[in-house]
Amino acid sequence: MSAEPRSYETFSFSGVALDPIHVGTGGTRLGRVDNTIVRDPVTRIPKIPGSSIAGVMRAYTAMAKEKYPNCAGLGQPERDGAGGHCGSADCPVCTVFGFAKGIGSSGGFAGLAAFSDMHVLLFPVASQLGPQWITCPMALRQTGIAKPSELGDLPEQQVLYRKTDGAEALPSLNLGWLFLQVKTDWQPLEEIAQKIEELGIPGYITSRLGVVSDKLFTHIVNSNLEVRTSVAIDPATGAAKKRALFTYEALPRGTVLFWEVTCRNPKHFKINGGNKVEAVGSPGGVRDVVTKAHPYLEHLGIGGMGSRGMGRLRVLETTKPDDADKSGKEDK
Amino acid sequence: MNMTWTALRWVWRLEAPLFVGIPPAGALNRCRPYVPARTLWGAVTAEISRSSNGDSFPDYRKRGEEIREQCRFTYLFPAEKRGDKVLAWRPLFRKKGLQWCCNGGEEYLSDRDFRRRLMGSRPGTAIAPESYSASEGTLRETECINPWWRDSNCQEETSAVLLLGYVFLRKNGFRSQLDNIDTLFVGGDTRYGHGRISRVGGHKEAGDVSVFGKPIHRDRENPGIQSDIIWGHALEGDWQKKQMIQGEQELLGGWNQGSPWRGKLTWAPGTFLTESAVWSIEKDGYWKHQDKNRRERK
Ligand SMILES: [Zn+2]
Repeated sequence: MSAEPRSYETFSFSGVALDPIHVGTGGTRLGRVDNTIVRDPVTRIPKIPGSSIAGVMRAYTAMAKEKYPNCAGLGQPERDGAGGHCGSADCPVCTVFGFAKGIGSSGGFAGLAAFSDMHVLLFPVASQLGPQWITCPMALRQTGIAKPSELGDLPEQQVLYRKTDGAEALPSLNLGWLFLQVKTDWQPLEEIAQKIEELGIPGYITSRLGVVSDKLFTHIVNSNLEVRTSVAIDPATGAAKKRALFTYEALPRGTVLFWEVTCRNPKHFKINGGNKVEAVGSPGGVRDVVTKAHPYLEHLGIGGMGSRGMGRLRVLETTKPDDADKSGKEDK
Repeated sequence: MNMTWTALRWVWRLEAPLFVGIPPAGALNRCRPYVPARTLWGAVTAEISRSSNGDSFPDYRKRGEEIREQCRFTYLFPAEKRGDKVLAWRPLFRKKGLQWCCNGGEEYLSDRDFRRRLMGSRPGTAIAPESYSASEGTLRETECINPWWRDSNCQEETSAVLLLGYVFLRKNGFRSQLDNIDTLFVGGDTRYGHGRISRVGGHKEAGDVSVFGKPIHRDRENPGIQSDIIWGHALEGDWQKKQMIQGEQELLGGWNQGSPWRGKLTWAPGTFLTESAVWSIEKDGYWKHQDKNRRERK
C-alpha cells in the first residue's frame, strides 16, 4: 500500500427499488419510451447510465440545498441572462456536479463527483419458497464486491447455488418457470454474502440469496422484467392520444442496484479562473453533498414516470467502517 | 549498458465505458478505438500531480511539462486475455481499407466488425429541472468502448476489455510515481463514471525487441521504434515522398485546459509503409520519422 494520499475516494452505494424502475434515459417526453431502454450491450442486462443518475441527483441535491431550479438542470441562462447555474465557489451543487459555464468569460467545471452506472446486483424472482434474490459472478465482478481475479466461474452452469445455513435442503427450486437443481458447495459464497450484508442490504434479502451462471442470470432477468402498457395523455385535451399506446419495461420492485460515486479532492481544483472551492473541503464532504439527494430518490424516484407510481429507490446505509460515522448523513 | 530510456509494458482493464472523442461532436459523438498518448499524458499528469500534493493545489503545468520530458507513451490498444497471454488488436491499412490485427497477424477483423465487437453507444439527454424529464433537443448518442468484448457467436465467455501499451522513462524517472498508480481516469465524460481503468499486474520491463513486437532504440534523445506500421499519429515529412503509403491522414485538434488546441496534419494509426523506419516518440506524443542515414543529434 502506498503511503501517498489518493487524489479521490470511491464510495459504494446500493439501493432497493420500492417501485418498478423504468430503465430509460430519464425522459418521459421522448414519446417512444420503449426505444430508450438502456441495456449493457454485452451482458444485455438493464442498467441506469451514470449520466442519468448524475442529472437526477443534481436536481434533488439542488432541492435539498435550496438551489432549485437555477443550479439544477442544464444551466443555460434565460435569454435575458437570468437563471442558469450560479457557478460560485461556495455552491455545493455547482462545485460537486459541475456547471455549464463560468461567470464572465471563464469556462465551466466538470464537477467533483463522478457517478458510475447503476448495475443490477440482486434480482428478485418468485419461487415456491417466496421471492429469491439472484445474482451471478459477472454482476458481482462489476460491482467490485469480488475482484475479477478472485472470482472464477461457477462449477456448474445449470445450478442454483445457495448458502448452507438456513437454506432448506431442497433438491430443486423453481425460479419463475425455470426449475434448477440447488447446491450449496460454492466456496466463495460465504464471503460474498457477508460483503453484501455490509452494504446494508436487509436480512430478508440476504437470507434468500442465490447465485447462477452469467448466462442464466441474463436469461432470468430478461424474462422477469415488468412489462407495462401505458398511454400518452394529450396535454391539450387531458384525454388519451390516439395511437399513443406504448409499452415499456421496468426492473421489478425489490431489485437491488449498486453504484459507485468517485469523489475528488476539492483542494486540487480552481474554478472561475482561480477561485478555491469553498463549498466542500474533502472527498468525504463531496459524498455528503451527494447523499442529500437520497431521501428525494426514496420519495420522488428515478427514471421518469414518477407520476405513474414508478421509480422510487431506497438508498441503503452501508455498515462498512470506512464509510461509517461520516457527518451529515441523512436520517431515515 | 547505460541506456537513456527504460521501456515498460503496462496493461489496464476497463472498469467503465471509455470515451475518447473524435471531432466534430454533435448528435452522435464518435469514439476512438484506442487511447492516444496525449490523452494518457493528461490523465497521468492529473493523477501524479494530485496524489503527490496532499491537500494543496498542484502545479499541473509544471508537472505536466516534466512528464512530457521524462515519459513517452505509446498508444493503448484494446486487448484480450487468451490463456496467459494478453493480445492487443492494432490497426493496419490494407488494400481493403482499415483492418484490425491480432495475435501476430494471425487474426484480422474489418474496422466495422472490430468496432462492433468493441464499441457500444449510449443515448443521453439533459434533465429539465421544471419537469424532471428530458429537455427537448438534447437527445444525443455517445459511442464508447465497452468494458466487455462482444463475441460474434455469443457462445463463449464474455471477456474483459484490456488496454495494452508501453511507457518509456528517461533514466527510469517517475518510476515510483507510475508504480503507485493503480487507477486512472482517461478520456471524456468521467463525471458520468466513464474512463476508469485499473492496472492489471505490475509494470513489466520490455526488452529491446518487444514494443508491440518491434525493435526499439533506447539510447537516443527520444525513444525510437523500428516499424513499417505507424501506431501513433505520425508527422508529415520528406519521407513520404520516397515510398508507397497505405493509410489515412488526420488533422488533430482538441482542447487544452479550456482553450482550443490546434494539432498538426498527421498520418493516422495503422498507416502502412513499404519500408521500415525508425520512429521517435516526441514530447507531444507525435511519431516522427528518423532519417536512416543520419543519427539523431543529441
Ligand atoms: Zn450553483
